[in-house]
Amino acid sequence: MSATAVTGEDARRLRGAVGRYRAMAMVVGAMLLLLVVVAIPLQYGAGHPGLAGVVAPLHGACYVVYLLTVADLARRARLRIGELAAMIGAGFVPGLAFVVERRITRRFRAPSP
Amino acid sequence: MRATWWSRKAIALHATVLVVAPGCLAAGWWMLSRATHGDALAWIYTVEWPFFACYAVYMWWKLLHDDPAVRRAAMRAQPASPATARLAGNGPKQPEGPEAIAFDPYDDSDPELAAYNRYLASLHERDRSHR
Repeated sequence: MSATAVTGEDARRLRGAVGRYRAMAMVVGAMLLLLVVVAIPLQYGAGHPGLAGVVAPLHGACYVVYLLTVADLARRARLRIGELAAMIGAGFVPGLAFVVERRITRRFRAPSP
Repeated sequence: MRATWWSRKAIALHATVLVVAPGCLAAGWWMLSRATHGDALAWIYTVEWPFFACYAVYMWWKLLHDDPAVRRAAMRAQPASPATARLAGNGPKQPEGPEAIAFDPYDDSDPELAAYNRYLASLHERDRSHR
């Protein structure tokens, strides 16, 4: 798909893809923060691995869905290599998800009709 | 669209995927061995790591075919409105509105505008020589 094809229906779908990406970025970002700030200190500091045992695989599963939304977005609009790298890294670098999400959203924000 | 296989960017992509994809497969293999030795949780990661490997290969292929030259040619062939170009992420950063679209900074057909541009150029030149 060439960039110039982004009109009407395509623009609507692109907005949908951005919305799905945003939602998953926030879910994955929040889970990663919970994991790093609460669950892992509980596991290794206090010897309570319970929370980490739940959050870690859940974060992994959500990350897979998140990556699919990123791939969907990359299919509908061209992402730069740096952007894509940051979006993939957002799943395992704590806090990065929120920064990247804001930048991507700003770039793809639909022009007012 | 043809990919450029040996550009700098392409070689960086090849190197990345050659490290990442086998690494993910190795991690998947390791998780499989843990899963078969009784770690039930490891089954999730046994599925997940091969998925990451496939993802890396997919993105490698996709980025390899994302040639900026091809993109620019498409933009020239059919100029998009600034709004759609911005939506696609390729547009110049421009203010919106019809008057902004009609504005061409290199248009010398208006003598007044051309004189003003010459004045700005002379100011710029004077600035440079005084530095």
